[in-house]
Amino acid sequence: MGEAELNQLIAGCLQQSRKDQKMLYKALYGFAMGICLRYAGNRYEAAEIMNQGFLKVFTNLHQYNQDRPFIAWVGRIMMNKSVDYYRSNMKLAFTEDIEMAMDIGHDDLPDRQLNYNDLLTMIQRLPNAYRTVFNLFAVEGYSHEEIAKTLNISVGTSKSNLFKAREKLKTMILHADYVTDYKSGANQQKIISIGAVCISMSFLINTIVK
Amino acid sequence: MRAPNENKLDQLFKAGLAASDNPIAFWEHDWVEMRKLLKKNSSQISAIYPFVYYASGIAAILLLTIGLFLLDQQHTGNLPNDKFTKRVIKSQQDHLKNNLDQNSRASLPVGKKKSDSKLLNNPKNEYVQSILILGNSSSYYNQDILKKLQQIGVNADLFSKSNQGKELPNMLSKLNVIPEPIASEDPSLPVEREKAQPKKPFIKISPVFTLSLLAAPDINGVNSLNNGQIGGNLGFQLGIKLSQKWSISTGAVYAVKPYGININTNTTNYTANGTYAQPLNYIDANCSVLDIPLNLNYRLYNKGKNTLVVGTGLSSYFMLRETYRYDYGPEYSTVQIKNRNQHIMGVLNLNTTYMRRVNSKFSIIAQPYIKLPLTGIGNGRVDLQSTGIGLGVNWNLNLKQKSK
Repeated sequence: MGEAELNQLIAGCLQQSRKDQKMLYKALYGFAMGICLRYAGNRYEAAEIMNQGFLKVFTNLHQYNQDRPFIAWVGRIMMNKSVDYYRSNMKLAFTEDIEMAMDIGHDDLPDRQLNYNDLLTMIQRLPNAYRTVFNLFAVEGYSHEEIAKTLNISVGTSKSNLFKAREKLKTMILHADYVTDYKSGANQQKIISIGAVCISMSFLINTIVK
Repeated sequence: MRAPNENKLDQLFKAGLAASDNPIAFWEHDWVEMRKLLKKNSSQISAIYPFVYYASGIAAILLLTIGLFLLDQQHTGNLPNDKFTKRVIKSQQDHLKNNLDQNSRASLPVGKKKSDSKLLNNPKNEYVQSILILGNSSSYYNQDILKKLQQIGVNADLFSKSNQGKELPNMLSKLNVIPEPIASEDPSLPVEREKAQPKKPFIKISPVFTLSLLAAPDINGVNSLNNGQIGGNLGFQLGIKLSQKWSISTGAVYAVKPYGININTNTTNYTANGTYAQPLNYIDANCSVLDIPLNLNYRLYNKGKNTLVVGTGLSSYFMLRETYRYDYGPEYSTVQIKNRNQHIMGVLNLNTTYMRRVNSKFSIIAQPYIKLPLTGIGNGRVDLQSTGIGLGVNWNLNLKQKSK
């Protein structure tokens, strides 16, 4: 979408034009959903968070500072809404506090790239608290102090959650690596080759006996 | 933000999840939910605003009713239910009984009857004790007692002619009565006297209410009043007089505020790169505002029919309708917003009020004022200033009181 078109849509949304609101919603849907999916447990939760975010976008459009890119403003709102959504759940679980989380080894990770859906599935399988901290630290680039302030937790809890999130993700990646290799047929090929040898040997013996 | 993250796992997820080549399919169902949210939100807003208007109206009517009730109570003379009043009532009853017993007249004119002299010379008589208090106490305390006696109608002639207690000692001396304190009767009384004398209360018990109707042309401008545009205001103000000098006022004013913003002057939050591709040159705005002021006023001058009052306070702006015309050179766009922005206590009021009394009920007033925003006003959050002069009529609601 061009800047002029985006600006036209914004002006229409300021006039409460439902048609323009839908067009803007569709235009930013993929971008906004991409952010919310990272923080949510599934697509339905993500859609709920995203709609709350869009509601804020539409109702606060007049506050948008045009010095900043519009997409960045929307992204920030989506991230804040995602954090808000899970902030209340943070106290219920996984608030173990450690002063210095040990950094898990990451040199033994496979070098090849995992695709978007694989990574998304892995991150969505994390508990809410781990996922939120991991997103804020690894993807958004926040420090533990900033995360602690944003989520109203201690720095130790933030470090602990990040450590555990990494640990779980690493396990998932290694497991996924095995599964992917299995699915790719590398092992099957070996079995088949062994089987082929067995078949050919038995065929040879049978032929000799006859 | 922190130092660059070198963790391979983090980098893997950051790169993989931030990839923009993973289009997420649009679900129509999500938009249906979104539309429901928007509809719900707009209905909530439209429900809140009428409530604000009604609440303002109800508050004003309540204030008016309470004021009139207090006024009525003040003049119907509800008896204070204190120890002293009860004692005086009892004294008067005893006095009447004595007089009936003595076949004398029902009233008690001072200094004419010997029986009165006898009565007053009897130190055990509570009525006499009460009068002795009047003769012996300070002027402030006298006035307090006299008011109470007048309220219950005890010997009105005696006290009205005594010039509020100042001549009472002389009158008593004519009756050969030596005023003596009755400290033994009620030890708390002298203490009360000492407490009550030196301090003058800031807030009167019974406030005086005034109602003003005002119309005001004013000039509105952003950041300065140069090149301001003329608007208008119409509304009412309810004033509550707390003391001789101090009063508070509130009310509701409907204001039309037109103003212009020249973007090239770089004096606003708007940028030249507006919502259109072309540069934004000028914004022509016209706003309808409900202004709810809350001011504290101090009376500077009061002589004859003329009164001068200065006041300051805060106004809340409820933006009822905002119309903006964005001028992009050859093109323009118009945006109209209803009931979206409100600025609670967001505007500083400074005013001076000249009041000329026409009669005991009405005065004409001229009120120059300036309104300076403490927060950004309207959709563009601009520094919208207003200055003007309000002209109107002031009605003293305490009709039975003489205006002071």
